[in-house]
Amino acid sequence: MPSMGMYTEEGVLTAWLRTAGSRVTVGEPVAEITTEKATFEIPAPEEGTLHPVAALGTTLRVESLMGYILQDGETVPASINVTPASESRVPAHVSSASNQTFPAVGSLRATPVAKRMAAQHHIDLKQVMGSGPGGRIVEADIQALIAKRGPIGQTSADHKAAERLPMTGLRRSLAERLRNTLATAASTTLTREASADFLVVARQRLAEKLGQAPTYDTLFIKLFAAALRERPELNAIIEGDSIVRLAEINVGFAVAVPNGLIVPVVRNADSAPFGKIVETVRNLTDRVLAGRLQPADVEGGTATISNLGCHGVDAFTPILNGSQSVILGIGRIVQRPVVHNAELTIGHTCVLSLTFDHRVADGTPAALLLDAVVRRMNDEQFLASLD
Amino acid sequence: MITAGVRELSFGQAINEAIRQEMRRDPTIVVMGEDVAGGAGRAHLGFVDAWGGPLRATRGLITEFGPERVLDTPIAEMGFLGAGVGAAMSGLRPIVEIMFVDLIGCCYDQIMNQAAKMHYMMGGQVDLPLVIRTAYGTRGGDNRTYGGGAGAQHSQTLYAVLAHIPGLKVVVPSTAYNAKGLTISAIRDNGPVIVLEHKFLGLRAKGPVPEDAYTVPIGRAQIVRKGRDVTLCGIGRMTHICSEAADSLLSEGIDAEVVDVLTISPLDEDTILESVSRTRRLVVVDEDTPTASMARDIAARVADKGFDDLDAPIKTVTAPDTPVPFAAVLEAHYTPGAAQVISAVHSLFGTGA
Amino acid sequence: MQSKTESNSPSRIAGLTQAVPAREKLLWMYEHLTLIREFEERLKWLVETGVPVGAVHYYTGQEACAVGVCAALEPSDWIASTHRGHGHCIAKGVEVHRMMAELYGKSTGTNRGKGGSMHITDIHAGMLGVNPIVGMGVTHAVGAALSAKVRRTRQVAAAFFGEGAASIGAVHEAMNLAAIWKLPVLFVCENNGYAQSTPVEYALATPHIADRAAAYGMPGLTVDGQDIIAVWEATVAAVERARKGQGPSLIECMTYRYHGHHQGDDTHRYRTREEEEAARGRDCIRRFREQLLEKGAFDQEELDAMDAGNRKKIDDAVAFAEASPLPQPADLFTDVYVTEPEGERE
Repeated sequence: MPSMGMYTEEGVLTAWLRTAGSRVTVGEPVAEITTEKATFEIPAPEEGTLHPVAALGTTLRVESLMGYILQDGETVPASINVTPASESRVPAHVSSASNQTFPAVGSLRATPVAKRMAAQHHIDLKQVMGSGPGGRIVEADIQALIAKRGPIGQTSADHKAAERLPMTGLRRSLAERLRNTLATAASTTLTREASADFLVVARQRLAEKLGQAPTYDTLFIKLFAAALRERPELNAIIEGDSIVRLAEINVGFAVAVPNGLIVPVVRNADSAPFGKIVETVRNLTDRVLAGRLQPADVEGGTATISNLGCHGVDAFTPILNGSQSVILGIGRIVQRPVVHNAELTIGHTCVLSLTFDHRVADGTPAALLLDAVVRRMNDEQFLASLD
Repeated sequence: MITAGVRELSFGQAINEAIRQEMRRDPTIVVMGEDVAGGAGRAHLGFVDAWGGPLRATRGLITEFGPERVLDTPIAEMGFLGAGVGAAMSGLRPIVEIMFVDLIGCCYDQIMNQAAKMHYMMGGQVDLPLVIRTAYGTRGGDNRTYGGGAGAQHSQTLYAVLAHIPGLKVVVPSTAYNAKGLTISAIRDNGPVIVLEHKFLGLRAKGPVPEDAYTVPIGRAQIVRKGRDVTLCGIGRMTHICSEAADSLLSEGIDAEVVDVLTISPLDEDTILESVSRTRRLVVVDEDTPTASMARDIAARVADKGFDDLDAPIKTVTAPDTPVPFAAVLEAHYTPGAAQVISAVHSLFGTGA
Repeated sequence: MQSKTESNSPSRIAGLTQAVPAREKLLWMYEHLTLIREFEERLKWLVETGVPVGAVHYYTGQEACAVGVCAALEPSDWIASTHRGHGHCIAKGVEVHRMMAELYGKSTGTNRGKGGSMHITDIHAGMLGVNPIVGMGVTHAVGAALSAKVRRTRQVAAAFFGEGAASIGAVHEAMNLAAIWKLPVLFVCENNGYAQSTPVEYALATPHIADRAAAYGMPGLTVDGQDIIAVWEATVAAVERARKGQGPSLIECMTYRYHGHHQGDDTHRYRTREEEEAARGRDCIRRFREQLLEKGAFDQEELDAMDAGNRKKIDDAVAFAEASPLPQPADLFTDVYVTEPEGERE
């Protein structure tokens, strides 16, 4: 498996895009790997006949063996042939052929953490193929099995499963990240209804200028980034005993894909010209939907926006993204009754929800950050400067 | 937290500043040892050009504090360290320099039977505010390093024989910053503390050091680099070797965490165990010889208390069980380096050679 | 041994003050000589009746050395002692009931039951510790003298050591340091003739330990250690010199231990009965008592009452020790460090 970026060490094999024995050319996508960041296509490194080795759903380390592309007349190395076919032993992941050794019968070796996890999940270690040095069963092997099978014995007799969907790849990593975030951060959410009349007008103006209406996501990325530059308290992460204020303001935006959420990042959104943001968001969205993201596209985010307004949601509570300390949730922009100067009028409004990590800052700076967003929504001069 | 100016100082200068600032604060602090003043602090030289020990850590102190508080001693480790013990029991706070750790053989009783045990065996009735500073370590095969080519009796890293003794605190600074902070903590501690100063770092290492006096806590390890895949646990100069290895490992996708032990006794198990609970893997890097060593002690503690968190065997990278050889080429083989650390990490992942 | 002590000519005892101790001082001397004897003989009886008081080294016979020296010191002065240290402790004012409790391993002992006979310490009495690593106490006394000099307190420190310790390097290093730094130290060698079983004639190439003082540029005196007044006089002179900033002195007291090296040592493997009887014939307490009575300043009843008082003190000390509580298991872990480490400990 090729490297998927500096910090990525493993990924789940989620699809073989070509069948075994098919003829492939250099660069042709042959498999799909899902890391905790995104899904990547793996191109064929050379021309030949595809011989897949790793089973679907297995977790692969960088450099580990996925399969072979055989030249004419070449055959698969003998030691490998036995492994994928076996029904009773599930290869969790297969390390590269050069140091492939499997435990001799009767010498079951597993690391302490692997044994502990196996016991917790009622996994019989004899059924596990170890991928560690010398065939030792390691944590990753058990995790892959858990991901593949789901927790065993959890469905009670009362609940008949209509379908069992393994928590694999992106779904699993999302689930873990969200749970971790909720467990560690002191998440608190502030909500505020804001007038969106000027924003609606500005969008119309920009539609004429750019030839296409920018999405509200793009506008909020810019508004949020500018507000964060004014109130940078939450553009920060916790590292050990320190709160680290981050120099760059890189705003991620959540994009829904069939199996989860992907959050590509617009770098330096506070200083980038609006037109550049529009273009970046468009490119990133295209790449997400096409499954052709680069690792760099999803790295380096310092804050996030999440927009459910397009699905008719008025207000919701966003969950922080990874180790970030702030996320802005955007509700539906719609005409509502507005009391203005003691008169009932009609105006566009939307409900903004700001979830922040209370460990990093208190309610007042968070409220001031939210206010900085709202002020800009109503700042004609600021909105007019976007181009 | 640190407001005053921060300058670049050498490791030895940082220690010098620590001693100087503490001596200004507390008139009961005295410095003793062979050539700590140099030239016996002779008045006709104006007390200025003191040699100041192998790391120059006491250089110039006699100019400010005079020969009554900066005492050159005859070559008599057993005698003057004993005088340090007695003085510490009776109202002074002596800082005694044993020029090289290899010389503790000459005064080991004062460390092992006297200083370390006094407070306990006397039922807590005496304080023993004694600091023993001593230089240690090889040149790592580098001929240009001061003290290089010193051979088997002037290059040792005798952590284990000191850390083994209950009642002693043994600290091993790794940077100019923590050298100053740990030295001040050692001076302010009311019990005996040994400060082991690596010769290689002593004159080579430089780093930012705040002007104000500050402490680095004794008994706390520090995570100096965050990582996810493996914990590299280093002591003294080996912390730098760990960081070097971590840089290289990152380029191949292995994200190593580096823990600087800083105090070898009492050991901060919690920080090491916490790190291993996240990374699941541990390599301990120790310049001392391996039999009954800190490396194996740390490994044993983690195997005992962190067993269920381990996803690979614990590895140790140490000097071999041989005396320190003289020839630079042999000494380079003797001293653990980044390549050995990387190879140990590879063995945990089943990659590499 | 005997001949050596007797050949000790008065001409060697130069520069002594000829002052006579005041009456109170003489009584204090008698009281402490007999208190030590009473303590040690009771201890011997306890050991022989099976009371577990650990390893002990009886001081019986040498009392005049400890008491003669300490009679010339101030309460604020320091002493450092040897494995044979009970006499030094008592002479320096350590309370006998706390010493006895320490020997019993009780939490009320001087060292809370963590030291035993070989580590009795009372820092408030100026007693830096019994120290059974031969020669080490001498280096610590030098340190205390350095402390006194740097802090300008006018204290002096007396280092007791046996003639066996005169052979260890630490003692020589300590003497040289004290001499070059002109420290207020008294090196008090109690030459009892034997290092465990090794006779001094075997271990020493010169007739007297005091001869070595010349090598360190300090005065060296050999005195009759069975004559408390001679010991006191020599000490007074050395203390005066020390307080004047003139540096250390070496006093060699010729003495004799009546019992074995430790409680289980059979002296007849290396000493003759004749030699032992001759030594007991010069018993420091009997001689001093005779002197006090001779001069007519003291009467029999006064001294007898003092003896009875000492017996009562030791009775009380044993009762106190027996009634005292044992240490708790948790005490094992206290006082390992002077300053508790900041991190969590087990």
